[in-house]
Amino acid sequence: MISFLAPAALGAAVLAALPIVIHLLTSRAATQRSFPALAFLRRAHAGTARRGRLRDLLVLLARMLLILALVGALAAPVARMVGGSGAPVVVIIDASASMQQRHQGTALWDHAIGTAARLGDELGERPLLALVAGTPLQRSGLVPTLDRGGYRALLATAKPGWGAGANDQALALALGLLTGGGDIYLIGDGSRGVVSGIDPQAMPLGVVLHLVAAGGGGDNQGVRSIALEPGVAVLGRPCTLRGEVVNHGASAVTLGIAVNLGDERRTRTITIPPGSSVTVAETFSPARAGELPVAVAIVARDAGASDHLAADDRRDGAISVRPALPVVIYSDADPAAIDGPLKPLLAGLGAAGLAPVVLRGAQVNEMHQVIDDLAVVMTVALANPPTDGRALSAHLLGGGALLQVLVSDADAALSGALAGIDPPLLPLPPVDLSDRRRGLVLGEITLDHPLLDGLRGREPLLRQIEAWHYRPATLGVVATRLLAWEDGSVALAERRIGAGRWLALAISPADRDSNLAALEVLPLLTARLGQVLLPRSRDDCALPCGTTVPSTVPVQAADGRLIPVVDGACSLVEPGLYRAGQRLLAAAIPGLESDLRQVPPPLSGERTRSSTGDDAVVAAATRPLWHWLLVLGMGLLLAESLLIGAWRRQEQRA
Amino acid sequence: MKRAARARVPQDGDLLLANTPRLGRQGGLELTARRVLDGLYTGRHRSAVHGSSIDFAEHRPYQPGDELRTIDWRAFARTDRLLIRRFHDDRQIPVALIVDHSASMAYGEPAKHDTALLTAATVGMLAIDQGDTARLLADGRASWSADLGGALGAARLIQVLENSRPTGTCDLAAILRSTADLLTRRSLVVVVSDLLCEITPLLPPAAELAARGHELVVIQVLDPTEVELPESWGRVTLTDPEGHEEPFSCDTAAAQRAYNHAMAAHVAECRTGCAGVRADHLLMISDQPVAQVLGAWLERRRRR
Repeated sequence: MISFLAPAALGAAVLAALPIVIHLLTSRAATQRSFPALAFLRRAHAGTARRGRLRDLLVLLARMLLILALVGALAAPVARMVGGSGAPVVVIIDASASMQQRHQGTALWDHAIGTAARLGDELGERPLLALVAGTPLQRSGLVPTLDRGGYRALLATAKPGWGAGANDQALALALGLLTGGGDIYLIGDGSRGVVSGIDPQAMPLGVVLHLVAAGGGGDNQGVRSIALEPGVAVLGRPCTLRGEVVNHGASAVTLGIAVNLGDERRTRTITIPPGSSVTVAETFSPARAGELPVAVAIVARDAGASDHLAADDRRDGAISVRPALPVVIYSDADPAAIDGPLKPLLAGLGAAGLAPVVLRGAQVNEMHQVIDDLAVVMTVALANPPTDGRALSAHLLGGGALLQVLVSDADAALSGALAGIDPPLLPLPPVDLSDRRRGLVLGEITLDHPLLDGLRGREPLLRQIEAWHYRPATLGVVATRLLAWEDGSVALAERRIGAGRWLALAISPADRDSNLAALEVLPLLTARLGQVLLPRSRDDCALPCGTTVPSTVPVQAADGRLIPVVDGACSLVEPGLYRAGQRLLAAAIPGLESDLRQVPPPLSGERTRSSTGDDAVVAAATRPLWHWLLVLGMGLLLAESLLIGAWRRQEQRA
Repeated sequence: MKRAARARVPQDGDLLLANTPRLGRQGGLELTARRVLDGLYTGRHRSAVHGSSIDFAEHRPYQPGDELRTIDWRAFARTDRLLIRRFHDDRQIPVALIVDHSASMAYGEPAKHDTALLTAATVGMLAIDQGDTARLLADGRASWSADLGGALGAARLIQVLENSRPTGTCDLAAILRSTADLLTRRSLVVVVSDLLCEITPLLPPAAELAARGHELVVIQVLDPTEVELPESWGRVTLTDPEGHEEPFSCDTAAAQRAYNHAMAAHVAECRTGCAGVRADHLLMISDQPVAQVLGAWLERRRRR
């Protein structure tokens, strides 16, 4: 059965009479002449006239059919397929957070599900499989089948997620299922997030990707991220909470923004130009240590402003406020032997805003009791490192820092000291110092470490490092030596453990001749200890929705629901705050999901189609015929040219 | 009368007379006959009868009643038989000019009829100039003029010709049949026509003319556009001036080749048909100079 997508174009079929009209007009314009030899002309022309009339008739017919073919092609004829082609079909439904937007009174997700259902009905007897590209990825079966039960069941139960979706994973899975060819229908909201990670140009032969826009798109405002500066909040010290608020609408909008840290709440009004963002920054001084919730939310909006996705108007986060208690611990070494090297260290820490507390002698044992709450731990030892590896590991995994100062024969003792500590740490890879794109250049070697920035321009000191030649080397399994001085006066190594950082600094005793180098180097290094040991900022205080976090204790959502822990981990699906014991976790929808602007598909290829939902259903059930009409038109044009050409050749031969 | 004649406004006939080439006087050409014809009066052409010329023809046995002065005594002395000496008799050539006056002759620029009249005038005046007589049939009344000759013959000839108008139809076959009946003396019959008709019906009367001793000359006058159909006319509706054919529309570009072939075949058929009845055929295109074409034709006849 043939139908037309643009039947109004069929009205142009009257143009088929154009050759006849032109013929009549030109015939009417023929002149009259008297000609005595008319009988001869009539007889002579009789034979050729018959051929000419036949040729003229054929040319007329070809021209009329050519016009009709073009008009027919403009009317976009399609043939409804009966029984289908048999090639399997995979329908992918984008289950990202942006599918929860409402468009023209209808949830976009419902529209997508309706389109998928109609596709299932229209695709006749073609094997079908549905993939809901959320977290986790859901599928209606193992392979495309003719049974529509699982397909319909999945459509009935599927819900949109809060994450960024997994369209790329679903597409990879679909391509794996369609090794013999077939069609993939990706139903999404047409925003840029739908096609991120997808390369439609690389569709394999026989597979056609149909990008189906289920509608949607429009004005939206949301909180894209929350950042903390510095990266570790210290009790009593100011920290700044920054929230980036975006306006994806087409016009400027004035919003009331609330910034919360713990129980403290501040509100302000901002105006955001269309298509841009404004960062709201509020500075707090945490009054208590521990895990604190933070949030940035849109609490007021212009009357005329529209917002299609309310879920991204609030963004929760969690920060850890730590007491500012750096500790310097040293062993029972001779104080006179270490006071010299410690003086510049203590001065440097004080300049960095860190308040050192020195524990001596018997006080060493108290370290175990306080170390968990410390932001920075400094150990000073002549020979022996800190002994409680478990407490130190927890400190480091939580984002703390450890500065271990070894006053001894420096470099020789460094390796042994680092190797002697064996905390149950995560097996992190060593710092890759082969990345020489930026940093301190020593000959042909580049050191990229903020602690070394103070050495820039100190050519005598750098020459000593150069003479000693820098060599990146792993110490133990996770530590990396940064540099060492030629005379053994100073050596520095770094080790990243979890979110924390462990620096090992070896200094020669003061009675050595080479201490001169240490005295020059130490002030330069300690001047930046504050920046190095405390992270400058923390970009986002929330995890993306759908993130699986390890946990040994039950995780409780903000509304009291318990999130099941499976194999020592649980998934934070919905946005909001979660509590796992003493830990506070936050999940938020990805910032890109706020951008609901319809973008033209950056996809064009031989095997990629873009359409709306209705068009996709029609296209799935029908087969376009217009290109065949164009081929017919070209054939008719060729036939007409051949007819006229043959006639002229015949005349020339005659 | 003389005053009136001097005051006469120049007529078409004057133009024709002025334009008619005098081939005999100016070109030194002569209208000759390939057959022995028979005029009424003595002329410059050998006739079929014996007469009093100086050209010996034959000996004939003496019969009672023959004049004694015609006996060839020298032959009697040699052969001991009485033989009569006979001589050829030179007579005029009676020229009969038939000009097709059908409406189709009005076609062309110049009109074929004008060319036909000029041709007939040229031939007639050539005959008159060389002392022969000419008679003319050039109108629709099918009435022959009297024998025209002598000093007034040329003027009378032009007068008759100028009264000819191309109208209606012209049944050449009937004219030829009536001509065969009309002409009692063997004559040079010159037919000037476009011959845009069937040739077959013309052949029997033409053969009858030849059988009666007349010499037939057919001068076929055609317009250039009749010989080669102009392609530039394009799509055109053509009508028959004589009304025999229905109007016919065609594209001359498409029909040109077939028509040219057909017309060439027709001219060839005319030539072949004329040869079959021992008639001379001359094709004259109306835009060609009459004197040149006739002069060449007369020269060819003289050489033959």
